[in-house]
Amino acid sequence: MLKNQRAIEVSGLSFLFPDAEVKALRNINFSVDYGEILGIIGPTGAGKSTLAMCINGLVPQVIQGELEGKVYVKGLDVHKGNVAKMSEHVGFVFQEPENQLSQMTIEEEVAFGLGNLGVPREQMEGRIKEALQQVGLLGFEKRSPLALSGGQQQRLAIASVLAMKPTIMIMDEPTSMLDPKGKNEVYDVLRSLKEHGMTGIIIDHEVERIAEYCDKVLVLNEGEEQMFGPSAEVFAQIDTLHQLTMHAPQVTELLHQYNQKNKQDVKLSTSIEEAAAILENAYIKS
Amino acid sequence: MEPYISVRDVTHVYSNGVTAIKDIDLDIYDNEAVAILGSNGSGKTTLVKHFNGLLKPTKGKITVGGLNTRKERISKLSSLVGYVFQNPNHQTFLPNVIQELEYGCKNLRMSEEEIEERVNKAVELFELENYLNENPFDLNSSQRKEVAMASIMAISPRVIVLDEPTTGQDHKGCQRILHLVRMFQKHGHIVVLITHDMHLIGELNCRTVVMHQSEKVADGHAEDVFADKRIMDLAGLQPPQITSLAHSLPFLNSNKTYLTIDSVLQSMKVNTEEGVKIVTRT
Amino acid sequence: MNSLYLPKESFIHNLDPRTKMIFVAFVVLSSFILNDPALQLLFLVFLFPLVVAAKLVKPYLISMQFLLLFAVLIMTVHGIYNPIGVTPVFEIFGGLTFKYESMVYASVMSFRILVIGTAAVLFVMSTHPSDMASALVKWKVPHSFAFILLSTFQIIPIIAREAKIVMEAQQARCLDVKGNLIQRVKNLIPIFAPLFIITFMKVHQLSYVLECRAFSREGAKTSLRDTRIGYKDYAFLIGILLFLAIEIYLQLYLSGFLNLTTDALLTYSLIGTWVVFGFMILKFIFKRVQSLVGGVADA
Repeated sequence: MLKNQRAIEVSGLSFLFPDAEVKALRNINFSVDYGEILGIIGPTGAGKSTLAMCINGLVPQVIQGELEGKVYVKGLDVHKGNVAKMSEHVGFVFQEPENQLSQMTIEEEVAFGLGNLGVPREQMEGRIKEALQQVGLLGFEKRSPLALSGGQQQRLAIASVLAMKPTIMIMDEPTSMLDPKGKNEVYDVLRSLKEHGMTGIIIDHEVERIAEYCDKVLVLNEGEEQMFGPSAEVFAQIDTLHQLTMHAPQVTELLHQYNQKNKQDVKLSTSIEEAAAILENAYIKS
Repeated sequence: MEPYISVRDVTHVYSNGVTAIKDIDLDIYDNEAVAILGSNGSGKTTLVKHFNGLLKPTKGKITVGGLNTRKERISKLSSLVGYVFQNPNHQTFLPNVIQELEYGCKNLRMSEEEIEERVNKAVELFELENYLNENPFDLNSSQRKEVAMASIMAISPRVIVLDEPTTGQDHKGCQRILHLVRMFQKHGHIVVLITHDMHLIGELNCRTVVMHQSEKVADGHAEDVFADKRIMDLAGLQPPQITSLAHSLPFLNSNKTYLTIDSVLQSMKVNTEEGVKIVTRT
Repeated sequence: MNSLYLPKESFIHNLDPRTKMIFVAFVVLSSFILNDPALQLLFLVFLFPLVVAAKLVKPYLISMQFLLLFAVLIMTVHGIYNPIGVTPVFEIFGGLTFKYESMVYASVMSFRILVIGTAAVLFVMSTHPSDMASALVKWKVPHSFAFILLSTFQIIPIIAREAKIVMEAQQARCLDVKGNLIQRVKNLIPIFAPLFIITFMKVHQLSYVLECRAFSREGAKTSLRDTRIGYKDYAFLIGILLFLAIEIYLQLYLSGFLNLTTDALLTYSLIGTWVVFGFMILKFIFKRVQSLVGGVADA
């Protein structure tokens, strides 16, 4: 009955921090299908991280407060299990690469989660190799994590989660502390995970990236769900985004302003190629 | 005109033997905004830490406002070159905003009146009137960053260095930084930005210095630097999305680099008015 | 580098951390059983081959320099001023007399520091921190405790780096870090307050990360690194037992007959430490001068 085809299903979710007067999240409803990537965007303080942490149970089991509503991951009621148990289904990557490191070498870092799951030593090496391969860090096993660049450290954090073989991956602003090279490295990993059918949630302020990588987008503001739908549709609601002090990808903004200036109604695309074609077309007509 | 900051043939070698910057020449003039770009470890931060004397050149010479940095105290140089660190938690630690603002001036042993005057200026500039008694740790991350910035501005340095000011900020926060940078310039400050934010530089369209593997590989107007594909690839930089889009629009001037949405719209309008013949792609 | 551990392929490195922990305990115990400077010195000499076997001679000698500093201080000050001394041995600068009893006392203390220091250095430099943690777990030490121990190794270099950033960040606010003592003490607040907060935030974040890596999961944990007690460990442990037996025998039955602690031995070991210490000072001065000359040439 409760079992369904959805990877993540959130219904009527609300959350109140112990000392707070206003709820951090209010009546959130959305779902993610297997193989889909959901982008969560919103201004600072909108509740994006809190929402993400509800999905693996960190909220409210570790970060406590009053929670209402239901969160199902792969048909499992998240709030009946515990975070440790959910870690086999949901991997979580945080913002600061360095704060996710606790071991002396890269292979031990990846092995740490496996050890906690009680994976026998004989299987560890294979799983470490596989995970490091996926993020392009094979051959770095014996090095110290502290000697890596930010982008590499973040890929290591991803590998450490991947080794635990979760079906779903949550990344909370995984690239905001990285330089452009590091950002590209992490997004390249994400692309290949997506190609391998990974289900995921990404929080990021860079809407251009969100539009490029995510199938669906959820817009949060002050704990409330403002929009939820396919990314193209959400970013087309450009006036709503502006009201929320947010913006759409630059190309979408351009198309929007073009429409306003020239009293036109061209489609608000998010991709460079499509936008170029649309503009060219419109331009020829005029 | 005399440059305010002059970097002559400067090399810095760390005690572990790593050469962080090599043979750098750079002049920064009054009222300039200079963005320093480059991947982490390219030497951006090392270069800028020479401006307020946190680092002294291993070779070469730096003068700030006519003073040789090798011979001056860091506190003296820091009163000329205000350096806002990336993470406000490294800089702010006092129980309320007003004390944060006074702190730098107190370190410089200014008189009560002078402190008050400078602090008031900073309060006005940053519109902090309603936050003076707040604990910086009760503010959100953008506000705390602004308090750190204001606490440096209260010293009223000639130069203000912002280390990755937009990192982790939302759109509103980025717009605010953009506004502040323009304000600083209007008030006669030199602004030095260490940043990865191509949108920010695009909007400012300021002088842009690119660092790569300890060397300065480009120094010019953002438009020209962003147009140089070789440099951009070398430093692992991607221009803003709008620049890429403008590149693929055949009816725009292909010799011009467009950094902002406005500039593209503007050009399109001009082209229509002049009735420029549209070249369709083959 | 994250810790003092120096990876090498050696007999000592390959011993189980538990064996090495027992070894350290044995050395500490021995340094108290052998309550005689001559025997302790002899013991130190016996330990040295282990340092050689571990291929750690150079780093060992470097770390010993610091302990030697203590030894010189203790032997000189106690040798002259400790009130238990009655029998004069030799005199320097006219009035200052080294007395036998005080020298024995001082030597026992200094050699004990050197002996225990040797074992500790040997252990720390030859044992991978993760191995130590997993060995502790095998001794039924709780996982979380072993983890705290291990992560301490990891966080120290991070804190050191953060401290440097905070220092610079405060200097950028015109804080003068150079200055008189009072000023320096005052400066501790702007340095330590941010450092404390940052460290706290890092550790706090790490606790979430650990939850997400199933750290609090109940049930058996496994580890990538395995430590196993093998025949080498048994051989080593038997060696330790044998040594212990000899020590006890020496101390119980032969202490009356053997009198190795002669005036000459005490004097020479005292002068020996002075000479080594003198060399260290010379080396230090030489380096200072060198950097000074280099610095001038640079400017």
